Amino acid sequence: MSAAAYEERLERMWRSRPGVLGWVMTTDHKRIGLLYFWTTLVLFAAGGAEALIMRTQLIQPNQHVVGPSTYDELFTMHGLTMIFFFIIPMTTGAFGNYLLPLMLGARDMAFPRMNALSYWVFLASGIFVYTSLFLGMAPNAGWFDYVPLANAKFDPGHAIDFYCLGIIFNGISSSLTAGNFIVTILKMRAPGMSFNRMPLFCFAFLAASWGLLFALPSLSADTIFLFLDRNVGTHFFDVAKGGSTLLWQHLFWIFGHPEVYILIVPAFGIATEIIPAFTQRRVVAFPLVAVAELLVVFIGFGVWAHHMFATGMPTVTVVFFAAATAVVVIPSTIQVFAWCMTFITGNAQFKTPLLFIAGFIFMFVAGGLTGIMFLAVPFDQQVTDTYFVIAHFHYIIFGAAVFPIFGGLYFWFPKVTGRLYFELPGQISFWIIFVGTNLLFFPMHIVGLDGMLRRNYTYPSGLGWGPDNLVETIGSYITTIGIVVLLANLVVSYFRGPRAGPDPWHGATLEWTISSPPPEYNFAVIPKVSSAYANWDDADREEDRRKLAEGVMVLDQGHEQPVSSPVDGWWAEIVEMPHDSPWPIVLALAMAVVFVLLLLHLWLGMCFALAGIVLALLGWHGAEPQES
Amino acid sequence: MNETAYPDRSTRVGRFTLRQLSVVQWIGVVVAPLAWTGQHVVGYGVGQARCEVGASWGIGFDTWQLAILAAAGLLVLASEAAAVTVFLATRETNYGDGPPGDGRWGGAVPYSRLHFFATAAMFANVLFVAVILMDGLASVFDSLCVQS
Amino acid sequence: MADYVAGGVPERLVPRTTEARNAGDAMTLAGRRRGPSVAFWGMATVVASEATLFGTFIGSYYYLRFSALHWPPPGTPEPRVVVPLVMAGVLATTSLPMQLAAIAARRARLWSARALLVWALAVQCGYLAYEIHDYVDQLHRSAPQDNAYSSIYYTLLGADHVHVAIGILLVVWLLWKLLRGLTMYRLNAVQVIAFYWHAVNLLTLIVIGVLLSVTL
Repeated sequence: MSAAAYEERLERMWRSRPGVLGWVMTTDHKRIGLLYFWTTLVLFAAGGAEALIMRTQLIQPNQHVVGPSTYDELFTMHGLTMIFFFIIPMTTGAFGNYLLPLMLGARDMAFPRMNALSYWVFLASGIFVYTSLFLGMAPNAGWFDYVPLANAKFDPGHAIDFYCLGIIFNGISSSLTAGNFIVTILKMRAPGMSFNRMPLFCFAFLAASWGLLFALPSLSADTIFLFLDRNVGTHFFDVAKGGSTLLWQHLFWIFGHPEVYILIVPAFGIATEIIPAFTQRRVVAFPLVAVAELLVVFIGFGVWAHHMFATGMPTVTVVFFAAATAVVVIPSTIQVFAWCMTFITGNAQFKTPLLFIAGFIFMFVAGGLTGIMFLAVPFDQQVTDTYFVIAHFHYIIFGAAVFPIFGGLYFWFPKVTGRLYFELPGQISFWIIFVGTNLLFFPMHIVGLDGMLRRNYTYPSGLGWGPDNLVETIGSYITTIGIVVLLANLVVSYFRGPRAGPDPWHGATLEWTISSPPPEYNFAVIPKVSSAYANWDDADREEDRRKLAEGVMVLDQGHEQPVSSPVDGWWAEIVEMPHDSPWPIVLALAMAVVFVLLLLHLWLGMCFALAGIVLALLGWHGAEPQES
Repeated sequence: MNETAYPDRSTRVGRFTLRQLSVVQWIGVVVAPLAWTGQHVVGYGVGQARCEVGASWGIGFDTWQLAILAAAGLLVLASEAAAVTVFLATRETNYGDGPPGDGRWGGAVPYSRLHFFATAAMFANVLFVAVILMDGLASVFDSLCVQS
Repeated sequence: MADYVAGGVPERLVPRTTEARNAGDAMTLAGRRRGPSVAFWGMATVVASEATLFGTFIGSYYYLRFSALHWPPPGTPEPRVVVPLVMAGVLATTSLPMQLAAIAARRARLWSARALLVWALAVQCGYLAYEIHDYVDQLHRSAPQDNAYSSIYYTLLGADHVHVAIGILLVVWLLWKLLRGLTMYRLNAVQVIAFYWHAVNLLTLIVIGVLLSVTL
């Protein structure tokens, strides 16, 4: 058989069903990544709209664009949407799903059907939470939803129930994704890819996945307690009956702080692959950058109470968290230095993706500097709940998460679509967004220090905050224009862009060794890996071409995938992977029914709906992989 | 470099077998983070207990914190020693920051993996020394039960 | 062609494990597989996540306890000590038949595996039946709506019972699957469900220990 014949055989075996059914039943990580991408784009637009309305309301003092209760819903939904329905699913669901198997030399994730389930659950949770908005009962107590404001006494009705259940539902999706990523990264690497030969992107996603796995249960416990308090009459947070309002905050931030590292670490992974491609140099201090990804998440689990410095905790407690916060900065700093040294000692080509990464480093350092300031407890107590905090975390989130996302969209656009984007509009989109975000978020430092509090629907005149707010609102419109230019560029390039080959950037990792877009089976030959920059190992790539011609390591006896040992990448077994299946979407629907019934307090109906979940699981595990 | 088979775990690398080096490497990677976690959690709990009503075990707060600090500190130093040992034993593994196209990070597996983990752990453990010292000393110098 | 070495192993020596469709093949191929199955790692992440969830419940228990002057608050009964401890111990003994069942399946001794699973299931069902009866009984004397102590007590205990119930469903499903013989999929399932039960048994011991620590 010839190389083309092997490829055709693999293509027939791995091909998805045609049409809509093929998408609904897909277990292909690339299709799931694309589903995540489009869904998060829509939700990003919603979160952005919420921001624009708020900024318009705040353009000058005493405006009446929206009233206070609507404003409460807007800032709550904006926070929830951007964190749970944009950044996490875009980085882990879209980028992670699409790219991880490719970078690891695998043909799919460890658990393809569970991957699809993660997506459908995510979609259902997004619809669930946004239904609240359309029903006029959106969550309105802030995205951290502190008690006692969120208790039944002060927030009756269903708004906070939507919050609790929506978060638990969304958390299930992320937990499943995290578990899937961890097992994939540990077991599904190409044989021979030991830990030190794994790309830095994969280290970043491993770190973020560990973070998600261990942080989400804290939030789940918190929201379970709140749901019980509100609907069953328990007293977890009721001081009069022995409960504690601070308990909510502790549990929330034990999740919440690792969450912010979960938001930025995947983006670090994106940056850390863009930089080698556009400097044509391996990243300086590879082991340090790799361990820094993991360390920042690990130490990040120990700093949570720095979000609670103004709650009256005793000094003896507070110092632990200030000390740990001082140290958690260091791994991020190591990474920034390593990247900067890579720029300086490499041959930097500032194409659009690298521009976004340069912007990311600038914004991240700015946000990081204000972050360090918060560990000084007296200072923190002065600026808590002011716009200074908002400035800090938006520099970090927009700078360190969104900029790499935008850069990554441009960087991998040729790989996913097979076309090149237009470079000049790309650069223009970067500059508009960069100027816009700095105009938007920088003045917030000033008004924050001046005393402007967050979450207030308006502010009085005569305090001198008007001009800064005006600049910020203009900045928000400019940023929106920049994002529109970016998306328009991608859309037009999709239809009119010049064709891209497999490797337009001479990138470092394995996805650049296969066609653009990749074939369904990813790799015709399981690649030979000798370093973390496999696409630059010409001898190995040459050997792979010879292997294909001879049918070696093609693994075409079924829907096959190699499995390796976690640390050294010794070849352990060959497994048959599941193919298209209806069960993920069915199970997601069954779970959605349970959550809706919980919301409506139909406890008995919920028990029957649980039976639906059991039936869906039985169907799922009815056929074994070798039987499909 | 193409491995023809995975090396037997009793293969010698200097004074150690591969199996021993692997164990020492994991000690170097895992012990320091666990030591800090223990110190952080127990120290926080002891601090919380200091300021709450209820029974105490009659041991002074400062004694507790310094004892925890010493224990954690010793563990981290042991961890660092382990990491350095593996680093030195696998030094022949070339880490090369060479030009692109020179794809060899050198070193067959598991030697290069051992060196990689040891390098990473050496630097991480320094960080843990810092955070353990800061946690322990801060709690002794700043141990008031007043609202911060 | 099949002599090509990748990841330290020639291709011809790597087992195609999903092909095992009877007990003998499963035994052979599992013996040639290096390390535990992918399914095992998946269950490990599930166990890690659930253990963390219980960790936060237990952390909340102690946080509320050390903020309170009296625990349990006046009017709320302390839990009984001996019977719950003994029951938790009885449940923990099911780790033995579960592990032996995994070993038997690995050695292609299907009837042993089935018998051991039935033994484990009988004890697990007995445990759960008694615990449900006891839970309902306690509810007659104090309600979760009484105070924070009762709230966390019933939630933590109830969460443990839910995990036991899920474990029972898993064993029932496993026995049903094993009626038709052993494949690699089912062998992985036996090992993975045994692991789940070890975790649940340990968890139950810890949870009971925490809830009874109030009597110390």
